[in-house]
Amino acid sequence: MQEPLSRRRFVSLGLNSPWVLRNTGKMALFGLMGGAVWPLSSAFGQSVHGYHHLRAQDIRILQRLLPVAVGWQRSAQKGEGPDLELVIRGLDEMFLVLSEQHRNDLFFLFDLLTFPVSRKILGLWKDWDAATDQELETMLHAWSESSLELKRYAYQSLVLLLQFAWYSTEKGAQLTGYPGPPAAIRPFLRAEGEL
Amino acid sequence: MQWDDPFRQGKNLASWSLIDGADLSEDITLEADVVIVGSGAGGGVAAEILSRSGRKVILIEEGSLKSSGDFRLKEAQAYLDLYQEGMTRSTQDGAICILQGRTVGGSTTVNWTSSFRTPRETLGYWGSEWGLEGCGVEEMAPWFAKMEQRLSIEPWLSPNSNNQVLDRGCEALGWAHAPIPRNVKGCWNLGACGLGCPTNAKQSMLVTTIPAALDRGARLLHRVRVQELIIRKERVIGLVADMIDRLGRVRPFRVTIHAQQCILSAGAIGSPAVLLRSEGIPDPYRLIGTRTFLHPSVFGFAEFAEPIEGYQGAPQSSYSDHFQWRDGVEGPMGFKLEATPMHPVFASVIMRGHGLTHWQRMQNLPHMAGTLALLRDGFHPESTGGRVSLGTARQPVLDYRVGAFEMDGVRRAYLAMAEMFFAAGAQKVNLGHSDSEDYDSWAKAREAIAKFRYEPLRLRLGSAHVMGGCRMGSDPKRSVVNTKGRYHHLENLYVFDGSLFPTSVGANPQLSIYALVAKCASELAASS
Ligand SMILES: Cc1cc2nc3c(=O)[nH]c(=O)nc-3n(C[C@H](O)[C@H](O)[C@H](O)COP(=O)(O)OP(=O)(O)OC[C@H]3O[C@@H](n4cnc5c(N)ncnc54)[C@H](O)[C@@H]3O)c2cc1C
Ligand code: SF4
Repeated sequence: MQEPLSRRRFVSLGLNSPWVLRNTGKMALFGLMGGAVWPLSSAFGQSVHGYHHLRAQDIRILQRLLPVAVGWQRSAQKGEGPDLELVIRGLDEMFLVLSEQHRNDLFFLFDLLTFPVSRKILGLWKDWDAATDQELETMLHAWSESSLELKRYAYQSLVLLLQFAWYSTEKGAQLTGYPGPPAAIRPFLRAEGEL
Repeated sequence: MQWDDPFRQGKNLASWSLIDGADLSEDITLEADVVIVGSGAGGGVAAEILSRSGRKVILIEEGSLKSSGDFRLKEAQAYLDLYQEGMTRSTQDGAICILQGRTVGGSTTVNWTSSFRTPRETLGYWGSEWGLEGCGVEEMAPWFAKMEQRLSIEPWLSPNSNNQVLDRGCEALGWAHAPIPRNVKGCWNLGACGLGCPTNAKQSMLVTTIPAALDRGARLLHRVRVQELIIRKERVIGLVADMIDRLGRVRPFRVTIHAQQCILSAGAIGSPAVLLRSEGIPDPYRLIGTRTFLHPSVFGFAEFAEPIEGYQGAPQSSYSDHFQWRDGVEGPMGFKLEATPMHPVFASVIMRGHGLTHWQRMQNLPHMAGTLALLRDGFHPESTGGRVSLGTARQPVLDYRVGAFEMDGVRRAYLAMAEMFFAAGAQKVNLGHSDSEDYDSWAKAREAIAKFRYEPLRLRLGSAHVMGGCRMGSDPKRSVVNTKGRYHHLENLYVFDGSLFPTSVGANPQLSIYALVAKCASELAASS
């Protein structure tokens, strides 16, 4: 087995992080949220067996947001839900290749979304287990529409990641009608793990 | 045979010198006549020319060595294995997503094969505004011809349905459009160019110049990331690099190279970063990393009654320059219209939005056409591009602000794409902007596009063309390297890649890089 990759202890946001932006509106928001959360975050967080990066609370957030971000739960056409575990595992793998900066930015966002004070500032009044899909949708929509660039940044980073992970799964791709690689080449493609 | 994977069945494979930084377990020191950092468009061409001239060449690449046998046409795997930061690289504020390769062959291993000569307007502007001597249309023509021949570049005359949409729309509107030349040989028309070509039809550096250089004794070090140059008394005496493990982490072992000449071909983010990390690098006018250009690109989508299947067939084979130069070289931002491949992951991330609307659009993927507009940055006084600097971990960070000037170009590009789609017979059109709904007529789309909020992070902006940052020129006060690609302030340091350009190219840049580097590398090879 590969050893787990730098599991986070202390996340340090570089000065280049979009969370530490220059203009005052953003600085204020950062101060408000970051100040409230930061000292706690390193002590907090439970690692989960089999995941390199994501902690229990990160996984919970992603599991709740995934169907809302990709739009799954609203679709009447299919009965079953997405295989959340498969998608979130794929996401955990993705964290391997993200730049350290990007990784830290996302962890910071997960922390903001975990702690009640900052979570409320970001528009979610209930706990992740109690919130309805509709409430999560309202939050994402508000981020997307926000006049604060920072919230739109949060929107983009999370939604992109979730869509990337979902459409990377065979099921996600198939449901769009994508037939997979052209038939002519299939016999020549190596199977997973084959050298 | 074309089908053979040169890195698995190549006839000279046994004699090639390949070193994987993930395998070694001690520091190593190597010597060469020339060390080249980065194995993409610039590095590949330079390696072939210089090894043919009899020089001992070492080519260093931070990505891993993956070849046709590894390309399984699975999107996530390709993006995570072959792209910088798993395709999640972006500008500092997150507003522009940046696609670059990080593998042997660099971005040429994953690019979409469109091969344009540098437009004459651009070459003219570089000459008159930036003092680029020796790079006029006439002077460059033989270099373009040479590289077209080397890489089998020919117009592609069987466009897929997605490209036919662009042709049809432009034709109906009387906009000039033409087939795109591609660097392919025996192409299977699979459409997987962005995932690594499984048939070796794409004439990327991976299957052309790099094998040729290896045949001539060049050594290829992969999973080795150059940290900095070693500079002593106006000369680069070598460089230091880190070995990288299979998960992309820095290992505790280093590579030191001593060489007579050092060439940076690490791409327009990587090359400035190596320079900025190098202690004692003379940069009296603080120009390294400035004027970085992106061809910021925006996206439009259209649903058709008939299947389009934008994931099948050569991704780009038609283009229109109708809007590129008509307002003047230095006027409002011009743009080039081209198709975009529509594989599920890629399509999902270039469409902005989430939830039900996004889902419904995605469920219609087989009937969806996708187009992009490449905005030509760097020609107007307001378009000064971005700046590469170093972050806290000494990693490159690109600050690129998208302001009113660029947004005006974005708005006009959305209008053009929507008009083109309806002229081609689209039923519904949407743009990659949060304010975009699905429009069923050109009139409705036109009215809505005028009212979009043109602010960063409300729309998808992407770039697969990073250029500039070490621009060429004759005046050391305004340029980083001279017109031979040599660093103005050090006698044996060269930059041979996309960072040479003083503005964006105004066309997909690979052939511009191949030709300019072929010229500069041949001049270097001819010097004693
Ligand atoms: C998805 C995609 C599609 C594209 N489609 C087209 C197209 O159709 N037509 C076209 O003309 N252009 C296209 N391009 C752009 C074109 O491929 C690039 O502009 C061109 O390859 C850039 O050449 P380069 O030498 O500057 O850098 P690259 O080709 O990017 O090569 C740079 C290499 O240097 C390596 N490197 C960076 N830093 C270091 C370091 N410190 N140490 C060691 N190695 C390092 C990188 O890993 C990379 O492999 C596309 C690009 C992408 C990503
Ligand atoms: S379209 Fe041609 S060049 Fe592109 S991946 Fe397929 S076979 Fe290779």
